[in-house]
Amino acid sequence: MKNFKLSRLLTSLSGAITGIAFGWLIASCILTGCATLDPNADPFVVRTEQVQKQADATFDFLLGVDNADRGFWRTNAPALHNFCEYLRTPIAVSPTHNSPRILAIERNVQDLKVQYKANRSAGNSNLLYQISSELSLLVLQGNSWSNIVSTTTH
Amino acid sequence: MEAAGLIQIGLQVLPLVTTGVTEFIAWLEALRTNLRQSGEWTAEQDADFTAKLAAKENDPRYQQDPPPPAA
Repeated sequence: MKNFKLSRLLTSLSGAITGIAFGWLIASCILTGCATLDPNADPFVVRTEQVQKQADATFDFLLGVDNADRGFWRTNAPALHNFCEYLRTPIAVSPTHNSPRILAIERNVQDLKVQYKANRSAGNSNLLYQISSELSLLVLQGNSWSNIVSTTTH
Repeated sequence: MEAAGLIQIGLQVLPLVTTGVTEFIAWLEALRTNLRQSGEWTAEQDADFTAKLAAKENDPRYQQDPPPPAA
């Protein structure tokens, strides 16, 4: 009788342990946003750098998916292809040099951020805020497309 | 923070992903790494990122479609 109770207890415990382990695994994937900010770090700079990294990953992925079969996306998802072409449109970054729009924006954010880090004035922060907000909006749109194009629709 | 939300959405849609699975996982991983950032980039990291952006100018993924042939 005692053994029977013990085995039942162990069975339920093993289920609980499996559940906890699985929960821990999922939590480790999801709860990564808890990194404590270094007290010497400027939150504005860290936030801008996070947007930059996110933009880097998002547009590499999105433009890569579109580039894998441009004809297919042009025909079957013209809005996505047009968005990618909008990001790729060359714009003048200097009198002698053109750059794809998204790279020009990313480069602009990077240059302004480096400038702000060297001289943390309100004027510099306003400029950086303006351009990083623009990049952030493009990232949001890019993320929406990333989720749409990478999942099945049937 | 929207990156944390995106990771949750990404994990939910992961089983449905049919296009660019490896790139999708790389994108999710980049978001996770991003969230772990606790300090500002060093000057070297800034220089690396600038160089990476410059290198992408010749990346085929970032080039526009060629103009259609004249009729």
